Parts: sequence; C-alpha cells; structure tokens
Amino acid sequence: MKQVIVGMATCGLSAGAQKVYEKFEEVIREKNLPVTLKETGCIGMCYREVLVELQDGDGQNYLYGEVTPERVGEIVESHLLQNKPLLPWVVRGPHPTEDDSFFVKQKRIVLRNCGHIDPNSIDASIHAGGYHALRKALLEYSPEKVIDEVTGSQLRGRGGAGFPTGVKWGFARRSAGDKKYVICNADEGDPGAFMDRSVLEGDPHSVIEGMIICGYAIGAKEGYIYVRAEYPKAIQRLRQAIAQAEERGFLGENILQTDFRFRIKIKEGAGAFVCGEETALIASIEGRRGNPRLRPPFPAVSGLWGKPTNINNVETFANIPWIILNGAEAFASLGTDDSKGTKVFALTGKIKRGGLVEVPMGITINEIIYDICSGMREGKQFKAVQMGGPSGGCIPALMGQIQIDYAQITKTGAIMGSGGMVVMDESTCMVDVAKFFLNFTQNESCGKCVFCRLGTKRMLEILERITEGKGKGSDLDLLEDLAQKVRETSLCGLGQTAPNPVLTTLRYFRQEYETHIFDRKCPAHVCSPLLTYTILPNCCTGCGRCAKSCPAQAISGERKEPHFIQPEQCVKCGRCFASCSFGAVFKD
Amino acid sequence: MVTLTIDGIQVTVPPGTMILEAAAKAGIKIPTLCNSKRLIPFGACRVCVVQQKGRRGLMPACFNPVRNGMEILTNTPDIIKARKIQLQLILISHPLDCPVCDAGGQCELQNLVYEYGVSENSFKGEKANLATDHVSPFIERNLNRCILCGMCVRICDEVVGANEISFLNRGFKMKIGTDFDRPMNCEFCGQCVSVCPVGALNDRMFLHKARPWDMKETQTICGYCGVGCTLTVGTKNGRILRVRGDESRGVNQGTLCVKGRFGWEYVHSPERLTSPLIKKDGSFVKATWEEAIGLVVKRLKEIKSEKGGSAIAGLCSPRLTNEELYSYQKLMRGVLGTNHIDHAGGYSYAAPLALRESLGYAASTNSINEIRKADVIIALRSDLSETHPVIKSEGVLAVKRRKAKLIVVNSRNIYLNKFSAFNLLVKPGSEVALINGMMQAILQEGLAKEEFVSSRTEGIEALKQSLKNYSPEKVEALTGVSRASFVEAARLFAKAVGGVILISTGQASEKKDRDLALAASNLTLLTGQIGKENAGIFILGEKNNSQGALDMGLTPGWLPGYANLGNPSERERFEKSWKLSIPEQEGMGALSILQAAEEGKIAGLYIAGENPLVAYPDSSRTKKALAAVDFLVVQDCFLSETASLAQVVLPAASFVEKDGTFTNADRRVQQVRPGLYPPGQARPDLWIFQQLSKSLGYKLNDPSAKAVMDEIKNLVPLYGGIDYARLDNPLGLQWPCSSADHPGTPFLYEKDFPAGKGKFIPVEFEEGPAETESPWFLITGPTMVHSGSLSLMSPGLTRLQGESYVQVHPEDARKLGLEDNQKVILRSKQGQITVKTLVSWNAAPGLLFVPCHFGQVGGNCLTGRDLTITKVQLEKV
Ligand SMILES: Cc1cc2nc3c(=O)[nH]c(=O)nc-3n(C[C@H](O)[C@H](O)[C@H](O)COP(=O)(O)O)c2cc1C
Ligand code: SF4
Ligand code: SF4
Ligand code: SF4
Ligand code: FES
Repeated sequence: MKQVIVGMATCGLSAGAQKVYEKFEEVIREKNLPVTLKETGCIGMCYREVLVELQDGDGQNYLYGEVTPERVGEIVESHLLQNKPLLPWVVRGPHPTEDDSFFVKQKRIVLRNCGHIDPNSIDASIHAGGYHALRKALLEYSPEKVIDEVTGSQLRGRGGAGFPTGVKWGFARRSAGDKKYVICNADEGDPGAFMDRSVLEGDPHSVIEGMIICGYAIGAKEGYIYVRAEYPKAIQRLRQAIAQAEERGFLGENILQTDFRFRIKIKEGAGAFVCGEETALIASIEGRRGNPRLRPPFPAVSGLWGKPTNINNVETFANIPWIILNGAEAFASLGTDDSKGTKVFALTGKIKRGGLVEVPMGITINEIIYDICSGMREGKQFKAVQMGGPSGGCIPALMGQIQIDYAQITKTGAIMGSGGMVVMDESTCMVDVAKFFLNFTQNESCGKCVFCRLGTKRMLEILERITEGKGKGSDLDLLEDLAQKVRETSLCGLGQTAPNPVLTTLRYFRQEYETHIFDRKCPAHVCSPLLTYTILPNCCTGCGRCAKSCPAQAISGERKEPHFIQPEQCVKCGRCFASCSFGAVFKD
Repeated sequence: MVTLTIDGIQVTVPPGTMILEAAAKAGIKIPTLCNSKRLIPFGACRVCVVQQKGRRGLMPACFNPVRNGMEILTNTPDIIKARKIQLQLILISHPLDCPVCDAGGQCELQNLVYEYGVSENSFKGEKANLATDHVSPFIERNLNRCILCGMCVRICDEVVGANEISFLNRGFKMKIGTDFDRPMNCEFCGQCVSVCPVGALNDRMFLHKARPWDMKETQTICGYCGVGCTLTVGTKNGRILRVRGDESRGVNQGTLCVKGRFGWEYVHSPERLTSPLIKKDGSFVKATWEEAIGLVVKRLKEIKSEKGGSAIAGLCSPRLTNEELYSYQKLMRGVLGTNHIDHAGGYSYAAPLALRESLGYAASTNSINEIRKADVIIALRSDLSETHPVIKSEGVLAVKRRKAKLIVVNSRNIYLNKFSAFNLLVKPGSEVALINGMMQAILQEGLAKEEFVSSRTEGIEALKQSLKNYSPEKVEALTGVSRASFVEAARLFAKAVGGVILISTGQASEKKDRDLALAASNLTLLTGQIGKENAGIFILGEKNNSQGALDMGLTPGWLPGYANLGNPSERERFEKSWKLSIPEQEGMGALSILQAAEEGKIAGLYIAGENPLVAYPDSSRTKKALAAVDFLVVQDCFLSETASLAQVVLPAASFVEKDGTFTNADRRVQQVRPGLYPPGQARPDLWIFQQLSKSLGYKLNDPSAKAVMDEIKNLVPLYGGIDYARLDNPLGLQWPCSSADHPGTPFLYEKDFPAGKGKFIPVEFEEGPAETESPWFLITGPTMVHSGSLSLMSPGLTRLQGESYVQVHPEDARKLGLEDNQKVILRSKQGQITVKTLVSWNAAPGLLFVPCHFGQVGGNCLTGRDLTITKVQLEKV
C-alpha cells in the first residue's frame, strides 16, 4: 500500500502543511488512488518544511521538502502514478542527498519516532516499541529497580537545571505520603524553543509512557501534564493519546493486569514564563498565582497539594522508555563523563538549516553549526551562539570547539537550558541581543524579588541607553554590579539567570559595548540611533529616490547631482539606504 | 541543637531555626523588609542577605536554616553594597513623601535608608503613580509607597484566611490589590495595616493625626470579647488616635479584629454620659455625684429597711474588671444584704459550670495559642469568625500550617466552613445528639482511649448505657447529618494527637449550654483529649470578662472563687474577712429577678453596665419588668435603652479609662491599664461602688484596684498568686495560680482532676418543644462587627453594619420570592420586628438569623425567656 505522510507538527502547519494535506486528499480522491494519507510529527528539518514522506510501491521512502500545494499534482503524477521520483525535490531517500549530512551526526533517542510514526495512532506507537518499556518495568522490575536503572543511566533533567533524574525519583519514592504526584513540565516558555512541543506533537505516547513508569517507580497514582495553552496541537494530541492509552489499559486501574493504577490529567498553563519554574507551576495547577516559592521544602517532599511530587521535563520523560528497554549502560555509553545520552536542540538564527536536532552529548558547537546545520547563510561569519534562551548566555565563535555538556556550557557562563540555540552572525549586535533577552525576562519576572523586579528593569534601561548612544563610561560597571546582585539575591532561576545574557556578552564582547558608549557606533549596524547615513557623491546618480523616501525631508540635492543628507534632520530610519539602487547610501 | 557563629559570636539554637532568628539570639539585628514572625518566610525583599564563610554569594537569612559550624557574616562590604543598591532600587519609584506619610518615624524603609545613609541614587526612573484608595472603610491604600513585601497579602491569607488582597500583574507592573481593584470589602480586621512596613496601608482613622513618637502608648486588654487581646492604645491630648496590636504581646500576638482595632470610637462619642442624672418629672436632670449617691443610698436604705435586702437585686455586666465585679458583689451581698445578683442574663455561663461538674474547673482547659497546634478541631455551635475572630485565626493557622482538620458543627453554613474538612450541618439544637452519636461510633469501633478512661475517669458504664440509644441511624435522623460524615469525624477526633473542641457561649438556654459542654467533656474524656497540650475544651465567653464575672462570684449561688454560698463555713470565711454578713438563702438569677420584678417583688434594682432591654430575651417582657421596679439605678457609659428607664443614672468610665484586670477565655488574668481620664464626671465603676459602700457605711482603707486584687488573692485560691507586680508581663497569668511562686497553669488536668477523676455525665438529647404554626427557626447572636451596645456607638462600625437584618438562605429566598435588602416582618409569640433581608449562603434552609444587638429591631424582640428554640413567621411588607 502506498502512503503519503504529511509532517503536520506546528512547524509544518505554519509552513502550510494543512493546505498541502488537503491538496493531496483532493487529488487522491479525484484520481481515486489506492493511497493512504497520514500525518506525522516533526522530523526536525524545519528548514525544508512542508515535508511529505512518500512510501511508494517498492517499499521505498522518499522525503520531499518544501512541498507546496502547487507541487502536489506534479508529485502525484510523476511519483505515484508513473513511479518516477522527483529527485531534485527529495531531501531524503534511497539515493544520497545533500541533506543527508543533517542526520549523520545526530543520534535519535528522544526523537526516535518523531516524523516517522502517525502520532494519532497508538498502534503506530506500539508498533514502534511504545509501551514495551512499561510492560518490562511493571512486570519484571520492582520500583526500586526502575529507579536504579534511571540512576544508572545518569540521565539528567532536560528542563534546564540538569538534576540527576534517578536521584530525584529516589527522593520522591522515599518521601512518606498517602498520595504522590507526577508532573510533566511542558510549559516550554523559552522564546525560540520548540523541542517539547515537537515531541508532544510527534510522539505523545513516549512521554505518557515515561510518566507512567515514573508513577510506578515513586508510588504515585496521578499525573499532570502542564502544557502551555499556546500549544493547541500538542494538547489535542495528548488528550487523544491519553484516551487511547486508557482504552488499551495502559492508564487507569489494574494496568497490565497488575494492581498498579495511574491516571493523567492535562492542565493548560496560562503562558507566563515563570510558570515553568517548578514551584510556580505547582501553584498554578493548584489554582493559585504562579509565583515561585522558597525551597525547601522541595516538591519531592511537599509539592502539589502538599504531597510528594516528582516533576520532570517532557524530554526527560521521553528518554525513560528507551532507557528501560535498552538498559542504563546503553544510555550511559553515550556522551561525556559529565553528561550522558543525547540532547535535543532547537536551532534558529542565521544558519542554513534551522530545525530540531538530537545529538549525543559531547558533540562540539562547531559540529552542530557546520556539519549538521551546514554553516551560516549568505556566506556570513559565525559570531556567537545563544544557548539556554533568556536564562542562558552567548558563547562566542572562538569557543566553537567546546564539547557540549552541562559542565562545559556552564563554564562559559551560558547554560544548557532546555535546548534553544540561536546562532548569530556578524550582522548581530551583541548589546542588542542582551537587551532583547533581558527585555523578555524583565517582562516575565513574577515581581516578587526586589532585584529581579527592579534590578532587571534598571539594567534594561541602561542597555537601552547604551543602544541609543546615551551610554556613560560608568554604565558598564553599574551593569555588572547590578547583574551580580540580581543573580545572587533572586529567589528562583528566572532572576538568578536573567543577567546571564548581559554578563556573557560583557565578558566576550565588552569591546562592542565600549564602541557603543565611547565611539557612539554600533559595529553591527543594528542600533539605529547610532547609525549615520551619508551619500557617497561618486556613486550617487542624483535620481532623487532617496529624497522622496525620506520621511524627515533630510535629503536635498539637485536632480542629476549628488544628494546630501542633513545629519541634524536625519531620523535614522534607513529608508534612503533601502531605496537607493546604486549603493550610494552608506551606513556606518 | 545546632551551634554556629554569627559575626564571631557563638550561638546554639534548635535545628530548623533560621539564621535570622539565630542572629537575633546573638543580639545581632539583621534588617528585613518582608519578614514577620507572624508569617511564613517569603524571601522577597532580600535585604536580609548574609554571607557564609567559605561560600560564594549572598544568602537570605530569613529562610536559610542554621547548620552546625556555619560561620555567618552579616555586615561585610559586599552585603552593605547589596543592601544599598537594593534600597536605591526601591527608592527610584518610591514617592519619598515622608513628611506627610503616617508611617514616618516607624517606617522600616525610612529606618534602613537612614541607617545605610542612602542619600544619592545612581538610578533614575519614574515615580509610581497609582490612585490612592480613599473609599475603603478603615483602611487607606496608597500603593505608591508599597514596596511589594507581600506581608499584607500573606497575613490576609495565612492568618486571617480572608484572601481579600493579592498580587496583581507581573514583574515591574506588579501591585497589591483586590479583584478588579474594587474597594475593600472584608473583615476589616486591619491585619494588613499592622504588617505593612511602610505607609502603603494606613489606619484611616489615624491619618495625619500624630507622629508616632508624639503619642503615648498604653498596653491594655480589649474590652469587647473573651479572647482578651492585648491592645496598644495610642493617645495624645486626651484622645485615642490609634489602636494596634503588638506582635510580642498577648494571646493575639498582634492580631486584632475589627472591633478591637477600629471599634474604639465610642470612647469619644458625644453621647457619652458625663454627669450623673436624676429623673425629675419624667425627664433627666444633671446632678452632682453627692446628690446622685445621696439619693441612691437613701432609697436603697429605705427599701432595705422596709422590705429587707431581698427586695433589692443587681445585674452587672461581665465587661467590668475583676476588681469591680468583686466589689459589686461584696456591696450587694454584704452591704445591701441581697444574693439576688447575676450577670449576662444568667443564661450564658452554664457551659463553664458544667465543666466544673465533670472536670473540676469552670473554664477552658487549655491555652488559646495551643489551638494552632492541634490537629483536629471541632467548632461546636461556634460561629467563630463572628463571635471570636482572633480564635478563628488560631483555627486558620492550624488548618493552613499544620493541615489540621476542622469539623464544623452548626445549624448554619457559617463562614468557618471555608476552612473545614467536615461541615456537619445539624438540625437546630441537635448538637448534643450528634456528639452522642460520635461517641457511640467511637465505642463501637474500639477507638476509645481505654487506658485513659480506666485510670483517670469514672462513670463510663453509665455513659455507655446512655449512648446505646444513639445508633448512627438514629443520630442521622435526629440531626440530619449523614452518618458517614459524623462517624468519620468521630474517628478523626479519636485518633488525633491533639483534639480540640471550641464552644462559644452567649445566646442560648442554660440547659442547652450545660448539655453541650457536658457532651463535649464526655467526648474528650472518652478519647483522652484532655490533660495534655494542644487539646481540650475551650469555652469562649462572649464578653471580655465573662470568665472573671464567674470567678468573682457574680452569680446568685456562688461566692468568689466558686465558694458555695449554701455552705456556712465558706460564707463565714468571707464574712470574717469582710467584717460583713452575707444572707443565707441563695439568690435569684437574672431572669428570675425580672420575673420577680414583674410581680412587684423587687423594689430596688441596681444595674451596672448591663442593657437587659436589648441583651436579654423577650424585650417586651423585660421592659414591663423594669417599669415595675420602684427604684432603678443604671450605671453605664451611655444612656442605654435600659438607662432611660432609670430613676438615677451614674456615668461610668470605659475600659480605657480605668485600671484593673480582666480574665479571658483561657483563664488568663491580664492587666487593664488606663490611657485616658474619663470624660466629665464619669468615673470608673470601682470608684462608684466604693462611694456607695462608703455612704452606706462600709469604708475601705485602700480604694485602689491593686488593693482589691490583694483582697481577692487572699480569698480566692485560684488567684492566690496573682498580684499586679507579677501581671506586668506580656502574657498575664493563667489561673490556677495558687501562690506567689506558682507559674500559672497553661493547661489543666495534666496529672489529675481536682476531684481525683474526670466524671462522665451522660446527657440525653431532648427535642425542643414542637412548635408547628411558625415555620422558621430563628437563631440570634452577635456579629463580627458588633458586640453588645457599645460598638453601636462607634460610627465606623455602624457604617459597616448599621441596622438589623434577617439572614435568609438563597433557596428560601427564591421560594418566597424575596430579594436581597427587602423589608419583611418577623413575628413570634413574643413580638415582631420589621427588618431587611440579607440573602446569604451562610444561612441554612429553613433557618433565619437575626443579630442580637439592635435594640428595637434586634433578635431579642422575638426570643422567649426559656430561650430554647424560637420559631417565627415571616411576611413580606
Ligand atoms: C523561570 C523558569 C522557567 C522554567 N521553565 C521551564 C519549562 O518551561 N520547562 C521545563 O521543563 N522546566 C522549566 N524550568 C525548570 C523547572 O523548574 C524544573 O527544574 C524542571 O521542570 C525539572 O525537570 P527536569 O529535572 O526533568 O529538568 C524552569 C525554571 C525556571 C527557573
Ligand atoms: S527571581 Fe524573579 S521570577 Fe523568580 S521569584 Fe523572584 S521575582 Fe519572581
Ligand atoms: S501594601 Fe504594605 S504590606 Fe502590602 S505589599 Fe505593599 S508594602 Fe508590603
Ligand atoms: S473583640 Fe475579641 S477578638 Fe476582637 S480584638 Fe477584642 S478581644 Fe480580640
Ligand atoms: S526578610 Fe529575608 S527576604 Fe525579606
């Protein structure tokens, strides 16, 4: 049976997968073809969306990239009807393609099923090995043995802090209590991160299975998945998957005929970044304002409704079934001394191939950027990578050789975080980057701690001042002082890490700051108030388009004569720069 | 124990102590802006940061527990720098309007800025610009000064349980507010004001009245209810300007209710009596003390000689001090020769007397602050948020902090249910059946504390016998409570480490109160929830000195200290000491006195502080009785409904204008200290009693309150060790305190009961007389905002609640087609009133509630003297 599988995760959908799907439906119906149409999750090649996998009569798989509704007819005609694959559009298939290098250095544990199976079907999941680990854990392992396995795998929490998962489960197991809870943290608030979303959309059953195993291990009978409400697709897939799992007896009473029971509820989060912090998240599930609270007591001792609670990230849970099935050693054999297994990264920015990758720990930044992502776009220079989202920091290109693991990344001043990687080239202003992230955290601070609430606001104001050319020589010291105090005296991770983008850019790109302050220049030409526009007389043809485009009437000149920009009147909007077809407007 | 050094000073503290407290112990003050010992550490302000030697970074002292061998530094340059930046950050948006801020001089922020010399700011920004709340009663909110310490939000949640204010918005835009930013509409206990470290939440009555250091502050005891909260009364130029609670004093530890904190205005009411009044030709004329005392003495002497002492009777209020109450009964018994004396209608102290019968002492068994440490609490017929708000807070603390289970037994859906694990909504008056049912379930399930029962109690067989009639099915039918819930409640109580029963007294019949207290006593004896800490029974008197009135013998049958009047040797002991003789025959109680008056048998009636016309049941009959008295003397702060019927009115001082002691609901004798002089010619009751005694021929050597207490001490063994020098401490002394070296007794019956064993006294549930014509049950009682007549003279309180109402359940309202705030007529056999409806889920279907304070339209116009169950008819106007 021939199959057409459309990648319908959020990334696919936003590239137009729905229309492509409908087009296939229409064409298949019209031509009455013996072809099944299915959907799947994200395979990671977001730079090639919309992706459509075609399984032809020979049992061969072809992955078409950049499919548009217009191309659907052609693909059907040529490949399905005439069995002639349209090789130029194939990004993965039986023949080598340029895109194969995207996968060579990846190692897929968490994403093992994403983009391969139909996330709407529990059978597809079971067929791919789903719930086998649950069976093994429940029927062959004692709860302690499960915890031993997880501990032995040296899996560290993928939600950001990297706490050893097995150890955490052990705490929750040892906490006395009549009721315990398992929470899956799917709040994924980092701007630019979409690992958890992809996993939930592409392989919800693995996460559910991981949670059930955790429930068994720590002695909990109830679980919550806290998903941000902005992930409607993930929520829908989860609801469906939970219902299916209940139907098959993987959730509910007497799971797999044992006396273990477990249920999962979904809680939609209101979307505040700080609600991803575990104590705030718990408060939010309880219906209280999502504010972090003091720890201890840790959730393992007193969490949801005051009961022992184990909270893990989506990716953490998705690793669990693999570990149970393949054994702790298999997992621990991957990675470095400090960090084992793999890590999923969401790559965005100026690289050629943006998307979702899963790599073994210990890979270098350069390998990810050059080998997997194929380097920078437009032949620009790699300048820095921001790891860990707003809580992370910028690692300069010079340090591209470092191996990715928790310890190494922390040493740079950034954090592993949940896996967002924003790759920047020479056209990025580092002060602007710091400002962007600080603006985010400043807005998302819950407002409790004085330094986080007020300190970040003032830091932001200083950065604004610097990017507007009003910076003072003393600003950098002030910034560092404040950053230090915000970091040291904030209660939760948000405040403690909020200064990281500023501190790392100051550490690696201090000169850029100084140029802003002392030379009143933005080397990357990003901070518009610091730019000067001049017309190069020898290039100017005097066509006058720039003068017409200028909203401030700052450009004057006779027709056919070189024009001239009145610096006092210029509002630095850059329209003249964009309007000149002769490259006569010079930006500095 | 954990030993650590702080700034080089070694301290040893229990594990779990926070560095902040350990430092305090070492005499080192670490600044804080968001910490209060009344609250759980929150960690918002971060000015409390300290450093640990050998560790990087700063850590907050308020929530980091001590560890052995820690070396803590509290004042390094790094810390000082952090604090300075902190303060600078706060000051950017702070208005710095200190000259017009009420907190000036006691503002934590101001103090720190001063201490750290933060005179310049490297940051700039806009000043906060939020509208000031000029509308909410009692509380002004000027959030521009708010430093977002969250203490108001937390106390309202953790201690009050009202959750009226919360954090709104996030990050830089965060502020404190109510939902939709409406004016506040809460209990107005002012706890939020009391914790606000700056001038963001202010006592509206105190606004711009004085600088804190310009006031004199007097520590005294609240004159409203039996909790006996310590008040810090701020006065200047002869006027109260502010009342607050001090967190280091008293059972309340800074917590007060709306009456205690804001209900003092009556003291300065223009209606206060400032001169004795004598009625001439039907209207009052001002008189001098000589004239008034002369007339009273002359008429009482006449009555005594013509008709004998027993034609004279006295009713006195449990609002007076112990010294006054004692002197009053001595005057009535010894000098005027009558035992017809009583207080509070005579029906409100049956519960403590019942405990005396079964356990030995007529009072609560344990200390109020133990309630918060209990793990199961039964609120038995006690609407605590209305009657004893500060006890409610103890319950809230237990429930919220210790996850205690609260079991509410009431015939209304009272507010307390917000915190309860069980809401046992009983048919009116069937509480005893419920408790009996619980005990039967405990016996059935073998949960009784056998060892305790066999070694420390007697009469278990009789109890078992009587409980046979209380099968779960039957109790379910009698009370209307599902057996599953009361049986589960019984199990919880029986298994509790500390089980507490709270009973508030007031408007109920003598018999019902007695039965209820005995049932409670049986339950605690059966489960061993007595004679230990964090357990026991609390009898919560309605008035500030309800306990003292009983202790001081203000009853027809008991002399001070529960000496039996019928016992000649006991009588003799007092007679000898007083050099007076006491009539032999037992006197009449309050309601009998009125009955006798109605029959013309009482010629002289001396009422001190009571307002029977409002506070006693069946107002119309009370009025008849008072009118039938030849010579009525009323002594009060105001010309009350009762006083207006008198021939002579004597102006009395209020509680802030006198000294003496009150005994609160946990047997705590506490000193009342004057902050003011009484207005005009008004005088403390003690002075008046002494003047009367003197004019009647009985002179005292030393008229001071202290001397009276010395006399009490000698005659009342429970008070044997109580003297003013010892009372000068933040917590008073709890009786029994038999001698000068006795430390007082926080909880009773630890080793034994006074009579050796605790007695089971079975009580049977009797259904009230079946009255069928009137369909509605009526419950009357106090409300949170008012207590008796005095609170009605405080304009602030009457603005919150100025008129009577009838509380109707929404379902009933729907059936009757009644709206909120609609006029209805309530009619009983005793009378009728026209009031407005208050439709509320706090009522129960079929049951109405009318507050008892409002004279002409209060609940007592409808109640009968038997005070069992009142039923009424309801008509729309
Ligand atoms: C401000 C803040 C936001 C966070 N957001 C998330 C999030 O979106 N998802 C997540 O898994 N963990 C988040 N965390 C981390 C959680 O607090 C917690 O450490 C994590 O869920 C534990 O799971 P793990 O052990 O599997 O990593 C956040 C932490 C902070 C301080
Ligand atoms: S650090 Fe920031 S986000 Fe975290 S609790 Fe404090 S104010 Fe809230
Ligand atoms: S109003 Fe006062 S108590 Fe409340 S948060 Fe602000 S400063 Fe703190
Ligand atoms: S009325 Fe009672 S609870 Fe209120 S302040 Fe006075 S003593 Fe305390
Ligand atoms: S007092 Fe410790 S953080 Fe405020």
